[in-house]
Amino acid sequence: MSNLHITSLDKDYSGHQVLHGINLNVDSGEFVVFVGPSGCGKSTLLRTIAGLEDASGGSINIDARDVTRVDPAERGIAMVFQTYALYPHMTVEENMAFGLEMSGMSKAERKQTVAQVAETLHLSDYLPRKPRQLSGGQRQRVAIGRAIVRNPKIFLFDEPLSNLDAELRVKMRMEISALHQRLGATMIYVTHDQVEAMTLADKIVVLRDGRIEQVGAPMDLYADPDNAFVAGFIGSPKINFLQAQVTGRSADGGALVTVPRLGLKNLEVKPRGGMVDIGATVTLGLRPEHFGAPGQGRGPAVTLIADAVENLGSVSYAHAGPDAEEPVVVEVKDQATLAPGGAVTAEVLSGRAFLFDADGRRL
Amino acid sequence: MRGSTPLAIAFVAPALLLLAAILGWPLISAVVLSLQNIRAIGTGGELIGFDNYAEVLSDATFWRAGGISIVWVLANAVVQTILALITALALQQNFPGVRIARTWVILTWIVPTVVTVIIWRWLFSSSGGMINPLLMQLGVIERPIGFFNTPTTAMATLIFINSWRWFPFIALMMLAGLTRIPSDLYEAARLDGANSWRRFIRITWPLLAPTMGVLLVIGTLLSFNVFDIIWLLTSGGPAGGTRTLPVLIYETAFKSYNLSEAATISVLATVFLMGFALLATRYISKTEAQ
Amino acid sequence: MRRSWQMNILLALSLAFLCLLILLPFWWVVSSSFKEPQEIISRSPTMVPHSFTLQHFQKLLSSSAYPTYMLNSLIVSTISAIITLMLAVPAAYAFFRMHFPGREVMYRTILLAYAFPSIVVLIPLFGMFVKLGLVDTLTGLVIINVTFALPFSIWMLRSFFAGLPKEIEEAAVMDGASTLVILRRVMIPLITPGIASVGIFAFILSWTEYVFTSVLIVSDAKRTVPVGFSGIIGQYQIDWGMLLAGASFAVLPVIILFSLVGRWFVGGLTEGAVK
Repeated sequence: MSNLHITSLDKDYSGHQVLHGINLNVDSGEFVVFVGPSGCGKSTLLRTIAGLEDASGGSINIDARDVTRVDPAERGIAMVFQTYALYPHMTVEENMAFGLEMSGMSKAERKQTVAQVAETLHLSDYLPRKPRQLSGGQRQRVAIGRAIVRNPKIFLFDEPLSNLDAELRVKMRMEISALHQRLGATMIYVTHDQVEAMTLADKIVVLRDGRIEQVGAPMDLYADPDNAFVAGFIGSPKINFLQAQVTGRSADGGALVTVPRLGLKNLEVKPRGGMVDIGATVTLGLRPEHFGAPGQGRGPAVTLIADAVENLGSVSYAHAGPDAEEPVVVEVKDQATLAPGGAVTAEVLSGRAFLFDADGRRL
Repeated sequence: MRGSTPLAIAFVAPALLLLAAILGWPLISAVVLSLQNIRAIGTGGELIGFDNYAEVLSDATFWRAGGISIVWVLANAVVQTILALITALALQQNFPGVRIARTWVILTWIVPTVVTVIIWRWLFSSSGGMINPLLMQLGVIERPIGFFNTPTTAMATLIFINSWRWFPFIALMMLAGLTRIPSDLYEAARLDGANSWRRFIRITWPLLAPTMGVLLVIGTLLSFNVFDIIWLLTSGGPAGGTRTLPVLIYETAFKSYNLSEAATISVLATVFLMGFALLATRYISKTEAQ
Repeated sequence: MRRSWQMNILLALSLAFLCLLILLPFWWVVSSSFKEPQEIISRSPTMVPHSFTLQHFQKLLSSSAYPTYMLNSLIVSTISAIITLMLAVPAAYAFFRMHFPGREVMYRTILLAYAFPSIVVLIPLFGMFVKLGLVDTLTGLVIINVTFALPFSIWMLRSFFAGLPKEIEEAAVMDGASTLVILRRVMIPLITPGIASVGIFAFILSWTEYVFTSVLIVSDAKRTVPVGFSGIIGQYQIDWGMLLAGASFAVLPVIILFSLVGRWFVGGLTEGAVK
């Protein structure tokens, strides 16, 4: 159980900067997930924490000890790789014991430690096997077991589930979550899958172009994003971004906006703080579930033509809009089926909508 | 990729030092030697500048050997490429025993050249042997041919023997290039109705071309340097008809005991080869970039 | 993929042609080495020996130092292969898995070794070996063979090292293994096929080397098979029976070696090529 402090961390590869002044605190026992699109620097950040990449500037502290220039093995960190990176020529037991051997543990002790961990991961029967004789899920467990035996201060996971099929991925996600509960260890997890991020994390770190966009609990990021990027990245289906014009203010500080795409005028949206300039062009962020069933009086009603529909059973999504533009996605609950070409009427729950300025900053 | 420069240097240093001592240093010595007038090993000499070069460049023997070397390299390239292409295309197919065939095709290359020489010297022998009696039985010839007796037949026979030794090696390299062509390209072409000939012309050939280019350069360097087969079979004869530059260098140094002149020819040959290698690799990387 | 019958015939013809081209000469030589002398020089050659004798082999072993040549060849080739591996594996690891200044330049310089006629260095090298007392020693031959095997060996190992995912190495780093331990415990076991092919390559190169050995070795007792054998060619009136027996004999060790590890060698050759 350890905490991690990263201070103004920079990383560049021969002049090309991939991390810009990263500041981050990870508390002891916390499960932190780095998310972001590919190339955002999340893996580089993880690898720099591991010591597989050298930081170009800034510092990394684990439990108040500066480890910025410390060898990876000396940092008390274990890592689970995307490809598992098991040693193909060693048995499961040898794979798990290799790190212990390197740290100078006696053979008998190694055997005992590995056996204990294998037991908890249901790997005992597979100890004499080679990795190629195992299924994807089993390999994944060996990789995790290899990390556990070393009793690290911090676990790092680099997209560990992306090579598994959908069903196994959900199962392993649960196992990792349970593992975190059981060990209470500090874990840092990289993924590009926002569902994984939402379900696993105590704290999500959203990265873009080597910068942290926002740090927070999953529900905070979802309900209160700092900018259009985070709003767009968290949430599935993706949030709708609609051009709008500020036309006035309401009595309690809300902005009145015109949304041509929805044919709405004087829609009242609460900005996060301060005043919004009248006449400004803004972006309205409206999640598909910010459309409610009609006839409840929770907001102005709109009627859209569904060009395409996705009926998922409990919920349906209507994609409305001309081909040239991003369609507006509307969530429809408790309605048996939607048909393409049909009309969808919904109330706009503008109280939960977001406003962003031209640069994508939250207003 | 990992760091730690001192360790990396420690890893490459032994190999580099050995190459520098056994190839690099003698190469420099050869240049120095070519500027002196040393005849036999161990005898003294003095710097005489570029006199050796003037002498060699005005010597008809040198130019003749150069010409023979060019014929040798070109003919070997043609024969080996054709044989290797047939072999590679055949071994690319699936048939029972293909794995064994892919392994043992290299047989001609793994036996000592001296054995190659014995094999073919006997098979081509005009007293006994196999080829002459066979040709006579088939009625192609009436009397045994002395394959090594005229410059033209000797050259042709040598080219055949050297190609026999090297074509499987080239074929395996081509096979490596062939196996990298994705099989779905062939399947797509098949669905488009392309027959085997068109598939070869439109897919195999263009995609194999870069490999062939590299192989031609490697093959040229390898062929140029062949010495033992020629020396053991004809010693450059008859009448100097198979005296390539390496043979001339050897003769000059160890038969006529003129070390400095041999070094001069060596240096000229090296400059020529390096120039060729540089131009060819540049041409290949240029066409690849297009 | 299915082939049309025309293609099958074409394939069968090519394979038959290749079989004849490659195997027939060997068959003729090996089978003839068991024939009586009269049958060998007979005007009507026989595909299958009509007579059987071991006299050529007896003569070869009794009248020449052939067993000595064979022993010398085995010693030189084996040691050359081992030393080549000891130098090439760390060098290839550094070239293809490590970062250090001058890496590209050094690697290209090594490849340049192909671009000049080896006979160029023969003359100065002889002088150098005279001074170092390496003329007429097996040590000298090993040095030569290793030098000539090295560039291609390093090049061949390239694809084997390149084929290993970097995560495996990183996992070992995280496990606390030093670079030397990674090389010994993780990398080398994983490139065994590459090591086998490089070892075989160096062995074959040494086994077949003629030019340098013929110049650097003076005494009969130090000769290797190729040079000792070429000595027999000129030494006697052409005794085809004995030469054919010697040829069959010289082919044997490479054939044995190749039937054990040939698959790996060819795999390594085609893997390493052109990539």
